[in-house]
Amino acid sequence: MPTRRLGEQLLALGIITEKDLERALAWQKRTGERLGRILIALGAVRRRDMYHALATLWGIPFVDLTQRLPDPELVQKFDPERFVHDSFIPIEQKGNVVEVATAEAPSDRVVEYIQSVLGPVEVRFLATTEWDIDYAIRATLREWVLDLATYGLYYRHPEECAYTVLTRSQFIALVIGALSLVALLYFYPRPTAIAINLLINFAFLAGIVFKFVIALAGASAERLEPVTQEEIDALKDEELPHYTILVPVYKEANIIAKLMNNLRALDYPPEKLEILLLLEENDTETIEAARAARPPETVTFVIVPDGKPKTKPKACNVGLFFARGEYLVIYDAEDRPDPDQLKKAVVAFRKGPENLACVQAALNYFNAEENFLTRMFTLEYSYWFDYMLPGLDKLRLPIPLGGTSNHFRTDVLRELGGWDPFNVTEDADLGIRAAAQGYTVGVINSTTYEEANNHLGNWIRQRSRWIKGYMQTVLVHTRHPIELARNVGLRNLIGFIMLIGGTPMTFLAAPPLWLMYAGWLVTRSHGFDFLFPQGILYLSLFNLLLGNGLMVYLNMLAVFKRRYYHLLPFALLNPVYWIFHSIAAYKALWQLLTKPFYWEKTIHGITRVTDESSPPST
Amino acid sequence: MNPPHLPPKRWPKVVFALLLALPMAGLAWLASRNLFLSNLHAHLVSKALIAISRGHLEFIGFSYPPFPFLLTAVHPTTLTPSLWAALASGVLLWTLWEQLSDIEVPVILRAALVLVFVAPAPTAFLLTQSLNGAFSLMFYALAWRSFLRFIKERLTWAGFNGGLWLGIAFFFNVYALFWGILYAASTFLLYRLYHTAKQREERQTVWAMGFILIFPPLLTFSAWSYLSWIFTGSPLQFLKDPSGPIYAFFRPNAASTYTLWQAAKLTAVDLFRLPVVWVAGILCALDSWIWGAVYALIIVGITLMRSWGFVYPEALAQGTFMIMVLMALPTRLTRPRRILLALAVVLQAILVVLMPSRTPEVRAWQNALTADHPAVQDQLEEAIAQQLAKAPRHSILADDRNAYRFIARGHTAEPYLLPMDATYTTAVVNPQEYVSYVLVAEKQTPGEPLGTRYAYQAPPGFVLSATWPGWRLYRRKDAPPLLSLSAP
Repeated sequence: MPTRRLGEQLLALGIITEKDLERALAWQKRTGERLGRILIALGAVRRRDMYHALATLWGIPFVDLTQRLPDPELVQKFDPERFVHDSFIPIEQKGNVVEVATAEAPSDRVVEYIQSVLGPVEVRFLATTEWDIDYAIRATLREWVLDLATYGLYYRHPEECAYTVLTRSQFIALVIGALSLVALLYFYPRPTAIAINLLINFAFLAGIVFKFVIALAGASAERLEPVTQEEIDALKDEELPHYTILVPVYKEANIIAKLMNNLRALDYPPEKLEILLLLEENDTETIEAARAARPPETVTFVIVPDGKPKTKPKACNVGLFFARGEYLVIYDAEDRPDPDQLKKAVVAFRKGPENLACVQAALNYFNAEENFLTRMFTLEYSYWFDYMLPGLDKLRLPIPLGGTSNHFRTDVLRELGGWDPFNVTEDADLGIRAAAQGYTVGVINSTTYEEANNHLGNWIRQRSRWIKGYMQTVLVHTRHPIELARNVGLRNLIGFIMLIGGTPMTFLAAPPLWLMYAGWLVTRSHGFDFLFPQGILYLSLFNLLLGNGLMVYLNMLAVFKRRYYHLLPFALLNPVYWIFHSIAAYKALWQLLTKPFYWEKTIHGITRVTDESSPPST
Repeated sequence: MNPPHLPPKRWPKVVFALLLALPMAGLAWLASRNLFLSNLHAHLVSKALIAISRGHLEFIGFSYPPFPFLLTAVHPTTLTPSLWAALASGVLLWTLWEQLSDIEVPVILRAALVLVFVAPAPTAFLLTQSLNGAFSLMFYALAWRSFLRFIKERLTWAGFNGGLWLGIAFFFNVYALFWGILYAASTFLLYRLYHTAKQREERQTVWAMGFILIFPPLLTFSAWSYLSWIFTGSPLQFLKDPSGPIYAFFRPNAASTYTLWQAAKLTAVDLFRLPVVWVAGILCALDSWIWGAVYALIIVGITLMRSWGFVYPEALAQGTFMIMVLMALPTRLTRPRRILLALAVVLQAILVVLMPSRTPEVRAWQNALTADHPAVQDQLEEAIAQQLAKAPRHSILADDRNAYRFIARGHTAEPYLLPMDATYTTAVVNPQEYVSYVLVAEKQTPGEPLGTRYAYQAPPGFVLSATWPGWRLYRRKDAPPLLSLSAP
């Protein structure tokens, strides 16, 4: 972009003032970014006005693609990814002349590409904005975009997609397993029941030991700062890459204004940010609210075509298609990331290994004090993100990603096939898929504060979705267990099974054991004695008394890093919280059988906590 | 993110700990060669043998602490518990060495301090002849080291390690609970020492830190009480064992206890033997009165416990004091302070030589180490045990609460019909129907029915076959004599 001339042109047109130009030039000196982007980011010029000025400079007419949509037949002859990558789109072919809208200075490269598809045609350029190009792509290639977002992964790697809940071989294995179990229970009821009891108890023990090792490894890495303040301070603005922020929102009209404020607080040059607000086509209320919030020009609304399944990963895949940043992160609408989080991610990627695909920031809650549920949730998240994930990282085990604040290398994310729209914990699935393909996931010492679920019904809906997603992830990644073991190694395979498989298994298996125990406590019946021969009795007693105690103790770790000391007594109430988990697990199992892709929407913005200014530390 | 880090080399530490364990293992072997067997180890070995013989691990439902028993059950011989104890001693000494190294005590002084730590006969006895005691001190040292790091540096993992060590220690010694309380109480004092005025205001921090330390021993205590309740119907039954350390607390009328004055004198004698503790303690207290208060806490605590009927043995008390002060020494001692400490080491070494232990068993052990031949009593006990071991299965009616030494020395529980066997109660009433021999201790153990009936009269149909100090062996009239020796 001809810097001086663009500035002069805008000045001449009276669109910007001298002062605006000076400020933008000073900014440009520091960040090395294009003047146009800077002026837009500063709010000195509207995108459309700037491209009008550019059209004059380039000596071509301006075209408004909302008024003049490209010819769909013509567009479909090209690779749509080139449109996004090179910021152009063909509009119409009249005889030997093709009109092409471009948001970049006309280039021979584009001409050569057009001619490679259409033959020796004359290319006539018209200037437009990137926003217009994206709009035109969505309008003319709506079905294509929808298909890509929904079935992209399935077409490329059907075995890695949860679209098929059970493969034929899995189904056969499951039927054979179930029939064998029924037969064994019929012919050898007592030994079979004992064996099942042993298996469950052993699994519990293994889970306890696994979590114990991971949590203590995490605790020993408590002081380790993957990214230091000195490293952040050493970053120069001109070296910072373009960053795409995806914010999928659905029926969240009430928090759009808050979202804008939170994103504004990010410490990152705004002209290097591309914020894509992913709005569902039929969610008119949120779309209206987003418009009413009058976001800055750096925010782009991406309308996600309506279609089944209506899931967050599908929306994110649409966002991924339009993303132009070198790195990409997802935030939920209510998220309040630490201001320097993007910079920390950049440092982490730069100093990390080449196969580092993603870094996960910690998640925590700003409304911990609201009620019992939010306190428990805060404890759980603090334990998980402050100790378990760093522990997994330290032991080099696969890390299941959290719902938001996962930062990707955009090219690697595309290579991995994006998110699985049929998996309702697409984040956890993606972390494991990355590991299976030789990539690693790391953690950064930055936090995003979210809103903790404060309503039991809402909590169970959310948790049932997560547990169902874990079940889907296990089913997807165990389709070829030997191949998986070969790809990720036995250690990682065990880690994956313990973490992703063990979680739903634990919550499903616990209630029968609790009921048996409660029954015994009340009736002192010896009816279940046969299930507990010597060894199993000791094992189950260990799990009951020390295993559960140890889990409660480990959960107390949660209060230390963030100094939530006042939450310590609540760790003792974990058994109550586990009951809620089990209810959610059974709901998840039921939904896996009846509505595998159904996305249990969590309602956000229902907290009564109005002051989000500080986390709930002591 | 995965930072590039090299795994720390652990093997040199393991080798060092093993090297430190070797002299202890040597002492254990020497004592064993002269047929010395401590009462505690005899108990452990006999319990392990009985559990293995009967195939019922539930036996541990009545046996507290469980871990010494389980470790012995791995290979129940009279030497096994001593070897375990030696191993624990190695780790304990290594921990002490590491801590002294961390606070930059010069190597020679460090070596002298470690040496003088094990030198007192009661301590060396505990580290080789008391599996429970050796492991307890080891966990105590590990926990104390972690605790100090937790308080000083606020390292969460150290606090959790400290708590977990204490939790495990409860399965070796009930005093883990006491230590947990002591640590938690010390948190309130020591936190003031290491943190600024602003941080001192964080009462919740201190409460949380204290709770983290006390929770694991409380958890293990509750868990074991629950098991005790399940198996015996009484949650604290495991603490009421007559051979346990706090029997007198629960049954003050059935056992002798110290008055507060006597207990204070005992503690004073323990301290008098440890000049290193006075000097190191004073050095710490000179730095801050808080250390003085912490030491006062433990001294008063042990004294009070003793006066309430808790048996806090001489060796355990001395070990506790030594570990507590040595590990808390200030970093980089000045030269005069180092000289003072060195003088204390010399004085303590002299006292070790001049002042024999007040515990008869420790003195017997010292004799066993230095004598050319085993003691007559041990020889006799060994010979009888070996011959009893050859008797047919379940042919000797006995009570393992007093016959445990014979079971342990004989390396088998097979010949005995014991209280845990289903027919025991009826066999006591009518031994003629069930057994060929009856082994009775002349000194009765509370609650033991065998001695009550047959300590001074033969069961119907039995004749006195042999007697030796404290014991009688009856033989059914039609049974062959079991022992070739006659009563001395």
